[in-house]
Amino acid sequence: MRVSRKEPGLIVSAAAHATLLAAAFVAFSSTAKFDDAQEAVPIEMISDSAFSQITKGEKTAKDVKPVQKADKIAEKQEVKPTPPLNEAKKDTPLPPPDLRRQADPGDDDEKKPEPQKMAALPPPRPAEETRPAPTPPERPQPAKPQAKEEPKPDPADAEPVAPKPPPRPKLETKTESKPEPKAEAKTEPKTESKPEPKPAPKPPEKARLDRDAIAKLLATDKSSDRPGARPKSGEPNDQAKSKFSANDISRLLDHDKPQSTGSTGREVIRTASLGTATGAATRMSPSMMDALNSWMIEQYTRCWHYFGTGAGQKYIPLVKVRFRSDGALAAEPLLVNPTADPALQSLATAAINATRECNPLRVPSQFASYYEQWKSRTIAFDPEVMR
Amino acid sequence: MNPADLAAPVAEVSIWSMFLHASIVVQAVMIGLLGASVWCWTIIVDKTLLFRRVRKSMDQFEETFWSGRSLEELYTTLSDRPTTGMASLFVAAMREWKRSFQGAHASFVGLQARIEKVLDVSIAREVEKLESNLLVLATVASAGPFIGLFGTVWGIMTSFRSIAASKNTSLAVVAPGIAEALFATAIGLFAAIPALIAYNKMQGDVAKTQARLESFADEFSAILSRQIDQHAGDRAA
Repeated sequence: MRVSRKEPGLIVSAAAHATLLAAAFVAFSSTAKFDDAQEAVPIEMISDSAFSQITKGEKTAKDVKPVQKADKIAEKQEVKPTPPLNEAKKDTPLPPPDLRRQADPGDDDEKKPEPQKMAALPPPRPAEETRPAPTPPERPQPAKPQAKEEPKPDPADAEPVAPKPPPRPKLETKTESKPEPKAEAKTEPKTESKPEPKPAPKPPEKARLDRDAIAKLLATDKSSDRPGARPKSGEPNDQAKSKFSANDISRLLDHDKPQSTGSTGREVIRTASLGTATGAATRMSPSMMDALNSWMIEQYTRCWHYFGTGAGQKYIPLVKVRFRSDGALAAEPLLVNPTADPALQSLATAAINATRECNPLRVPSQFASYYEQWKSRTIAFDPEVMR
Repeated sequence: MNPADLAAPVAEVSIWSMFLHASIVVQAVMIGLLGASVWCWTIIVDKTLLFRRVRKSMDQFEETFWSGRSLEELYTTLSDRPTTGMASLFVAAMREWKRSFQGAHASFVGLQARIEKVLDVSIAREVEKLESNLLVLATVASAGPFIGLFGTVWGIMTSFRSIAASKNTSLAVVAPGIAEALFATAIGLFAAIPALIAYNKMQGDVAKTQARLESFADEFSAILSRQIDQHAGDRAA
């Protein structure tokens, strides 16, 4: 087509397309990228059996796991006793009423326990206790909270504090009281305590001492049997008190655990301790399964008392037997295919009786680890085979 | 085969790279369709201008024709220059008229038929001039998508063959080939759609112009036949 002024179509069209292409080049030169798509990660489906294979334990781990299982069982039993001990700590406020009682009745009751503790401690305390008793019941009351909070620290404080007051009254009493038996100490403090309070009229220190002494008395009153342990010496007494703390008790209980779990450990050991309890970590090979079947039929054949002939009747009683790990029946044997024919019911009952007669089936040890696979079995009592 | 190695060269997906990476058949299709688009738009622009010009001249001629000027005078002014549309019809008919009268033995027998023939021929010539190249639009409109589809199919075929060869179905490997292939169809549609619209529009314009020319020819032949009869009556008298 001729390019002329009348027909500028070619020029116009070419120019338009050129500009359009240029625009397209510009517009499409940089394509907007998608957000980086993560490469798809291949996922494999794992069947239950494969998962149980993964959970399979090591053969060398046999000894360790039964202990863990035993501990679990034992904890349930042993955890129970510990909380009441903790509660007993909290109950310590209760004894204070005992103080009042001791205070109210008179000096004699208090003095008897006092010397037991006080043997190592300074004599002034018993005397001080006598004082508060008459004075007001208020002092013992503030002592209650301290007694609650400071049962343990008190003995520690008492030791350093104890030496201080004695020097004032008499050094001799201390030296005498420590080595001497408590029986003597009991008598001495009584006599000494009465004179001592008189020379030492310092009320604030005494009040503190009173509280400490009261707290100790409270502890002693609670456990009235402890005096037997105290006679050892002053310091050992404190240790003995500390031993009675909840922590010591829990430690003692911990030591007891393994003893109590001995019985529970058996099952765990028999299940070969491989992997999880439910995971069939190891699977019986077909040959082993066949060996177990033949062994079971052999065992049941011994207990099999049926002299009829099932031949021609074509009835093979199937008995579903559930075993425990030790081979004993876990449940009543169940006849899977009961028959209505009375002539054949004797066969069925004979089969069930056979399973009951061989009740503790001594499964050979090589099958013990495969308990999961033979814990429930359906045994066919074929009269022709079991003969 | 590392997918990164295959994907790396085609990572750039600008239009130019798409064109360069396409197979030669697809490239030919693209170039052909682009040329067809250029040609279509050339025709569209030219025809639009032509139709506008023809319509304007026809309006102008009708105005002067019916203004009462004598046909002789109009003929002398128009016969000197090239004419379009109705003017060419008028000139052709008047030329035939004059030839019949200028001869020594002018015969009016068959003059009417001759003038109508001349008018028909000139109408046909004018219409042919108007709708020339419109068939190109029709062809591009109908064949463009198919040509583009051919390019797409060929490109997809090529990319699938490369997939089979590389044994890698990663989308990064497949995508560039398919994008190139689809680009051919895009160009085909880009050329065909305006062509189809313009063809339908211009076909209508041509028909309208043709009807207008025919009506003018009928009117003009009627006028001439009246003149012929008058002259015949004069001669008979």
